[in-house]
Amino acid sequence: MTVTPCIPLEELAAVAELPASDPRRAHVAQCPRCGALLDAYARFLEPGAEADAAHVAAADTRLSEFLARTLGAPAPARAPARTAPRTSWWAALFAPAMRPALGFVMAAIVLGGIVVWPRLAGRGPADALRGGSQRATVPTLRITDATLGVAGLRMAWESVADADAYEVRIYSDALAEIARLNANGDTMLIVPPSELSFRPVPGQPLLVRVDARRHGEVIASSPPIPLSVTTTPD
Amino acid sequence: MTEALRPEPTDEELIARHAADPEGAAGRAAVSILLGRYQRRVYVWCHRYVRNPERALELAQEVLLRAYRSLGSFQGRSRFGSWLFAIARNRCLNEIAAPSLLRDDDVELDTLPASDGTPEQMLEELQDEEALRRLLADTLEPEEREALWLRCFERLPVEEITVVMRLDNATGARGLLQRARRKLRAALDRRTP
Repeated sequence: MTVTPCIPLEELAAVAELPASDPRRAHVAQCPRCGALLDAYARFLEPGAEADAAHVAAADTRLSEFLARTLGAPAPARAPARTAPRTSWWAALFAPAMRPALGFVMAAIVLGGIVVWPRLAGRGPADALRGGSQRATVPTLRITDATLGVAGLRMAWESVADADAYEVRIYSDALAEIARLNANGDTMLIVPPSELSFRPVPGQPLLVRVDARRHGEVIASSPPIPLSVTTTPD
Repeated sequence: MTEALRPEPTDEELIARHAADPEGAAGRAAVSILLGRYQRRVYVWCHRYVRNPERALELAQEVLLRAYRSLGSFQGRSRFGSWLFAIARNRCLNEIAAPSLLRDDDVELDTLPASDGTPEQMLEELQDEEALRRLLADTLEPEEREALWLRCFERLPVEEITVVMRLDNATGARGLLQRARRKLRAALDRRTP
């Protein structure tokens, strides 16, 4: 008897469309691992009602900003992927004609959440800590300079109200943290090459993020952004 | 109106545009559209695991970034969506601990029979995944097998398994998982010398 091996996750969707007589398709129907993964993938493509939650819309906006920053391209006008067209009222809300208005509403919601809500509630930003209330969000910190050249590391970012310290974290391309640098209360950090705990390689893709802290707790974070290692003096 | 009539590029077309000009504006714009199509799904998927919007956002950013960095290695043998799903799944699996096949605090611990440790020992001896799969196949109904797999290997929350498997009974995946574990425990007890 020939035993059909499990299907690699990436190929499951294509295998599910094979004729029922195909041994690989039959394997998927009987194997708990492959069946479970195929169902999970279908759920990934069709998020269901959860995708309509307010926190999802806010995250969607921030992810668009993140992609625009990371790729240096304008935030995409999102459309549902062809693999799973949406037909709900939510899709109508995302129709091309609605996008400018929707973008404005989302920006207003995010701004309102970050700026207005803590004041109305009489609570400082420290209440909006990661891992706290599901409704709370950590405000975004904006990095204005991130350069790693022969002169060393040069970082600058916008100050965050109430922050008493900033921490710079550098990650490898594989998202492993390779350095953590304390900037105290400054909004810039310059580290000469001799004081770097790692050896930058020209062309090496690195990522950097900055956390603003108050009494040791993170009160704002930047998204990770690319940090190019150059060989030219800065 | 013209925008509605213009066909949107497929995932494959966008990947080809990126491959033709990976560092150029056109290539990056193509990736931006491509990842933008999936960013919401990636976030929702991450949120199902960590149940925290901020952490889910961080994970989603990591997944999208990893996909962008690895896009050059995508060879088109699979759908882009399933390739991206694999990245998201792996990242989420690293984020949370897997529950045991026999015990799970999220599935009403009180209803499980008291253990003398023997089934757990038997299970630990089943290091070989194929042997474990055979045990599940011999012991459980297909639906029970899938639920247990989703819970213990895919680490999905119980409520999520109910949705993934489209279970509409009153207890959802919870009842299915309890039944599966009882059967598995009994089967391991029978194997005890």
